[in-house]
Amino acid sequence: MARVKFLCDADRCIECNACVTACKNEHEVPWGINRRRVVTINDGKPGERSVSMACMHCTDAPCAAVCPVSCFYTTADGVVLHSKDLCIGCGYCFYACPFGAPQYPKVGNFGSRGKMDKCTYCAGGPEADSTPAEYAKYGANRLAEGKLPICAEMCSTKSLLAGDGAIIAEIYKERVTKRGYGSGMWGWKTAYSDSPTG
Amino acid sequence: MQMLATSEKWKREVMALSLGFRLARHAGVNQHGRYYVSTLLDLSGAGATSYRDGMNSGGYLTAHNVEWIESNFPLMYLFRRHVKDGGGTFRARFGVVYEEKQPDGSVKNVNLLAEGSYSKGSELTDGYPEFTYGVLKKLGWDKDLTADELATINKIGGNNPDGVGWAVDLSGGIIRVTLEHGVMAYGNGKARAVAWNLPDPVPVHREPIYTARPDLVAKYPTRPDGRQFRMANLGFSIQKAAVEKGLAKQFPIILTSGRLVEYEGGGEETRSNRWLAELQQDMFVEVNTSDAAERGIKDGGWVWVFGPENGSKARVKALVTDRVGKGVAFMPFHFAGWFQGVDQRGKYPKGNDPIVLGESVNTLTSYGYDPVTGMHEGKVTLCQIQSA
Amino acid sequence: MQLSSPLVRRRSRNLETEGRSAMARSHSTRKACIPKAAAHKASILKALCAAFALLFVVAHPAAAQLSFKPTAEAVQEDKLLNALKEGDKITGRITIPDAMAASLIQPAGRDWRDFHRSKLPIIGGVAIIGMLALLAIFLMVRGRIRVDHGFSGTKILRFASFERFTHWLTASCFIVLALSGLNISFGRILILPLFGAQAFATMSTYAKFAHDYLAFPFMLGLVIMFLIWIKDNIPGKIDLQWLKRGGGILSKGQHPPARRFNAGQKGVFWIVIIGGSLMSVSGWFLLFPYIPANVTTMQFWTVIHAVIAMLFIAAMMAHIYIGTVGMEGAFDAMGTGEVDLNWAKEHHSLWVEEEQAKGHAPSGSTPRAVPAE
Repeated sequence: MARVKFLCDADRCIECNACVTACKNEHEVPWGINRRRVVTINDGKPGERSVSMACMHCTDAPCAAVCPVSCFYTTADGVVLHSKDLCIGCGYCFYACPFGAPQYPKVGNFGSRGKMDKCTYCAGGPEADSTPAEYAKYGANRLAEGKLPICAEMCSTKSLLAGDGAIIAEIYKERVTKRGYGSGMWGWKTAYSDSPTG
Repeated sequence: MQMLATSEKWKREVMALSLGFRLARHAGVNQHGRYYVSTLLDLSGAGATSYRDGMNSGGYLTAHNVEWIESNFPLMYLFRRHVKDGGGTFRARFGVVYEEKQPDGSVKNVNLLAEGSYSKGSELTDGYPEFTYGVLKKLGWDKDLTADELATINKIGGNNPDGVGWAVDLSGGIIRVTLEHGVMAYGNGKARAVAWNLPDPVPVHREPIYTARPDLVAKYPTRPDGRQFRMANLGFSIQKAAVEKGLAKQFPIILTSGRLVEYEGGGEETRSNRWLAELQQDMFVEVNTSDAAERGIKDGGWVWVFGPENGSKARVKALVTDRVGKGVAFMPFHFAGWFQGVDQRGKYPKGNDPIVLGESVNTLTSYGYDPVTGMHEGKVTLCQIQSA
Repeated sequence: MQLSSPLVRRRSRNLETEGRSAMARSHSTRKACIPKAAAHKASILKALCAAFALLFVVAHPAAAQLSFKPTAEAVQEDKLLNALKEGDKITGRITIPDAMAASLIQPAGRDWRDFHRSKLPIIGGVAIIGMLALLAIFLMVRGRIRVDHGFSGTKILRFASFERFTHWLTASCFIVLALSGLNISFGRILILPLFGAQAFATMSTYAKFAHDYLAFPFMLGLVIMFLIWIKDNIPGKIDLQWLKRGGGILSKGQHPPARRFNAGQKGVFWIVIIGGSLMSVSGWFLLFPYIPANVTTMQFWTVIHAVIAMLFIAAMMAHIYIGTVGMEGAFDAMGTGEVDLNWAKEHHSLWVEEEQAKGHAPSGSTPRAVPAE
């Protein structure tokens, strides 16, 4: 089984937000929930780079480790998913996540946190694949249809890569070799400490 | 297009059929006994879609990547590819020699053909004019023409077959032969910019009507006052008046307007799209960090931007950044729905107000009209910015 | 190639004239449907020439004399990460209003995870189980603290009903808060395996509701407690003496004088007020995380909340012990509000004297009334 990962080539990212818009549209993500976002480092200065960031589906997922109700699970592909039925909206996963992936609707008691929502690698959730029930809670399940996440598919410059971790690492290395520079595989060491380079 | 493709008869008749980019080519002899080539284009593109993995599912303008486009369309001035592979040269459609008037009244002949630059695999390693049968003969390539092609050329040329050019050669032989030799039939000329029909045939520098450098106006004024269709274009007078009034001191920052990737045009449609609207929720002005420090403007803080005409002003958020240089400010032009600090949401017909409203930058932009199209000057004016 | 074909020349001139006349045509007859293919081509051509010239100018080597190297100076992730100080984040600019989204990577999350999964259980385990053990040993060794002179049968009012109400309001909230809080920290390890994920999650959801809502009466109770009891809980010299003698808790027959509240109780009071305040402040931010809207701030407050909770619970276990099992006659204080006079004289002798002087308490230790025969 392939261990899937995300890789954002910051030297290609043009901050067009196509990935964000694609994700929002595909999963009907409500206003205020940012499953994916583009962050620009050193904005306006030389060497400015943009990175598209969402859940990195870490190897030893800190969100799963700290969850008080253990609502997370990792699929055979390495996708980290969670159950909204079990989630109590405590916010711990957000405190632990290095990438700020967990998002909460402001609907809980006191208007603070509802059930956690995050990037699912377009792999849905614990409900049956590609059912309306799954869509309502987690969005589309593209992986079940043999497709890759829509954010990477829509990337206008192919800076955001998704798929088998070894393959996308290889693609990135080829690019770095060919063009002679690369600002790094953002988040890989933090997320995939077992294989930070591929 | 789909019907054509499913028809057994027509499927065999057409010379080229692409359902990928919805094109069908048919050629033959029409009812008048004349050769024809027809191209049936289905331009109704669907645009990038969420199914089919974001690829355009129809239409001529498919959302393919650069590599696909280069392989499938002949591109002018693409030297790194062979002409058979989509490469091309710059057309030499304006002759081979340009008679340049010299200051002393004499005339100098300037070569308009490329010098030493050519496309990959070209047998001619220099500039060359448009191809005619005569040119082929000079190069000895006329031997490569088939008998049929030669017959067509002679038929078209009549008394002067040498003069038959690539564009009128219905056999396509001149084009075929040139492609075989790695050259473009339309010639290999220098890229030039002499737009004979434009008011400035060669671009010259002209100071904007509202310029931050009034000292340059005397040497580089805008075009003289004139009439465009029924409208008067008084750019020169207004520029002169701005210099005399010393507006550049009152409004020291150059204001330009431009695009955001999230929105389109006036923004009424895209600012009503909930995915896009969430990404840019506030109208803003990009202010340089030193300009902001001088004015006590903080990133994300409200500011008033004042335009040079009619006491125009707009209340927007400041984006303090070095994206713009000192003395320059940028505002996107996609916002509308506020006027001079007042939210106009109540004036929209019920249910038609976009999600995001903001000041319109053209409240601030000033006089100036393109001498050919009449397009308003949206790209350069002056402003002053103040913390609100 | 300097070939000048007459056809080439002618065409270019034709285009010129065609182009100009096309312009003229379009000026005069707006509705002209004349195919303007040639003129159109000419103007496209001219526009293209202009465009290409521009490209040519911009691509000119002289224009490319940049003073910086954008690729060499690109931000590098590993350099940024190494330069981060403890608790810092790599942040950038975003277009959306959620300030927390501007954080790209916050490595402190890893330390927070370590704390909550490794260190906190140790702190909690040591504090709570340690206290349990301590109390068990104390009970075994010292036994229940008895009233040396036995119960007199005479009562003295110790706590008015309002005071008792405040105490029980705060205490009952505390119990539920403590249990639901411990569920968050340890439930997954201790309870989930017993009941399964669904049942445990449902229970935890209700526990969280209880925790969130009961926080408010708890805080109210704290405030009232502070107001009604602060005056009796100011530390004094007597407390020092009391402490020097260990409060008499370690050996029988020792009853150092104390006023209304002895040093131990004052300790509990301040632990409750200070600990409770820390719990309230940290808890407030956990209830309303959008106030700080900053993950680092939230991490800080959860650590405070969790650590203080463990210590607080341990302390309260001791308090509950001494007020129930640990000392006979103590529970009456909060139970009925009236305590036995002998008990009061042994443990709060000075307070009894003050109350008798005020006339709030019966004087002397009257012997048990002998029932009339």
